[in-house]
Amino acid sequence: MTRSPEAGPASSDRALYRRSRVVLGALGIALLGLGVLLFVDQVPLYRWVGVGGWLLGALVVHDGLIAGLIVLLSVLVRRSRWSAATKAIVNGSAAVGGVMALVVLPAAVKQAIGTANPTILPLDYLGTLMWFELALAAAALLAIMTIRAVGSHRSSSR
Amino acid sequence: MSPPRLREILRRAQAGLATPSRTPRTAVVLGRLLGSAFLICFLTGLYSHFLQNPLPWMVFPTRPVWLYQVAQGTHIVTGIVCLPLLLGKLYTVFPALFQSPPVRSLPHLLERASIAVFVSASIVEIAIGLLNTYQFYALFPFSFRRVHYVLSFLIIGSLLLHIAIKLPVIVRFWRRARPPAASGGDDDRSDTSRRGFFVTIAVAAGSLVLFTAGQSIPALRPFTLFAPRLPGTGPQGLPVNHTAASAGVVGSASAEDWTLTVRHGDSTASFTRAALAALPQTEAVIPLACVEGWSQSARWRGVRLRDLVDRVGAPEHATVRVRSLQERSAYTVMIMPREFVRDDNTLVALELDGRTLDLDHGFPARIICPARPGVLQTKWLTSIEVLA
Repeated sequence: MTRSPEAGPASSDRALYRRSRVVLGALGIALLGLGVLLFVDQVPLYRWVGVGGWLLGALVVHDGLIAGLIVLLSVLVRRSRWSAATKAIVNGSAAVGGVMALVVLPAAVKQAIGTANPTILPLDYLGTLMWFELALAAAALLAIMTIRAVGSHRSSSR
Repeated sequence: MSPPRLREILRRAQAGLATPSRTPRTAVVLGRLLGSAFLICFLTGLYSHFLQNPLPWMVFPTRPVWLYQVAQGTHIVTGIVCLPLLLGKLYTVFPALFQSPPVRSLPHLLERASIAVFVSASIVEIAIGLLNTYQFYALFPFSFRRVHYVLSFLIIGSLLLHIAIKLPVIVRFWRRARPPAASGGDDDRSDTSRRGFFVTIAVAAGSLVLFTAGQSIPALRPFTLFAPRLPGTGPQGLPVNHTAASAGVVGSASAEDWTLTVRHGDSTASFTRAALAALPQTEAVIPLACVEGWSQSARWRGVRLRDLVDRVGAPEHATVRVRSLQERSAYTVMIMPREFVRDDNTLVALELDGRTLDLDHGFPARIICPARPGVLQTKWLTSIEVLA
């Protein structure tokens, strides 16, 4: 563990602070150990490859794909000549739209494949998602136009 | 590639990724929210798990009747909120992926390994939890219940370890730093970027709750655009997980000669549906609350379970084994602990909202019990056995 005394609390609290770190760390290691034991006990050996594939795949999908797309988008936005507010709105609406798509698209796919009965996934997920994304884009555009209009009004009235 | 060259590439990657929203303060603020959300999911998840797999010494509260409904609704809603929180948190710390040198020492290696476990297990936990609410089982080459349960310990363990390691940073950035006396153009832009970042997380989380939580929170029902279930739909206006057809019980549940057998050692009593309907009836409003997070209250009417088991001389402390007509299913047999057996509102239900139970809701008779998950509200009863 790294130590940075200047970053820690006042000296009178240092003992408590150190103890808290040790207790938290020990508890964390104990729960990790319990998790490993439960894994060995609950997940049959022939399922380990499947679970491992998901765990590894999650890192690849996030660090490689999702984070890569986010970095690409933010670099493109940062290089633009837009104002900070416009950049924040573009980044924000893209993130909100992306998160909603991440949640809803699997429901649309499962619905298209078929469900066990009509009460499972009973809504129009794909259609509503498209409307949601359009409404989000329109709201973002409106916000940007409003900010620009207010900005130009302010500068012209000076 | 030579080490200096690698270090230079990593340094450039880190510098290129620096933005005002990627600060220790934003990481700490999001970390607090994400840590709290994971803890809520962990505790409500354990409650649900042990209701279904109780340890011998465990006793569960049976009141309020909506206890499980609220606990599991909270589990699912908080689990969905974890997605934008986790993505936001990972965004703030993404440059750390390119730290140089990649490994400084054995403790540093362990620290990075624990973070890899945390990130990977968290993403999988949230993803399979969400996919399970869609019943997208085909994507799982494993048992969802087991893996979801086991990963929760790895997540909370690695989270605590991470907090212990990062405690100096967490303490230092727990409170907002005092703003500089004079703010220049760069600071304004940074503020906008930081504020925009938090607003984005809040809007993403708020939208997800608003448009999906109506399946768990009645007040949000009018905004249900993306929830996997819609309360008010299905036979008798109530959603179902397993229909009579999918459970393969249409014939046996509709049979004229159906009886419910109640047994305690050598003492046995059999009841036709008419005989059950002739016994004193109790009415109770109990929510049907699924492990997948959706729930709906309904008015159930039937015979108190304790009245039935008392007819075969069940002792006060007895648990019961309930059997369904459904065969070869994880829920063919259900064990009910004594506190639920003895509850006034635990029914062998015959009616739902004033009408005979639909075949898909468990006709001729089903269990309805307060504060237990829907998977334990056994449908299409065939026998109830009193255990010692």
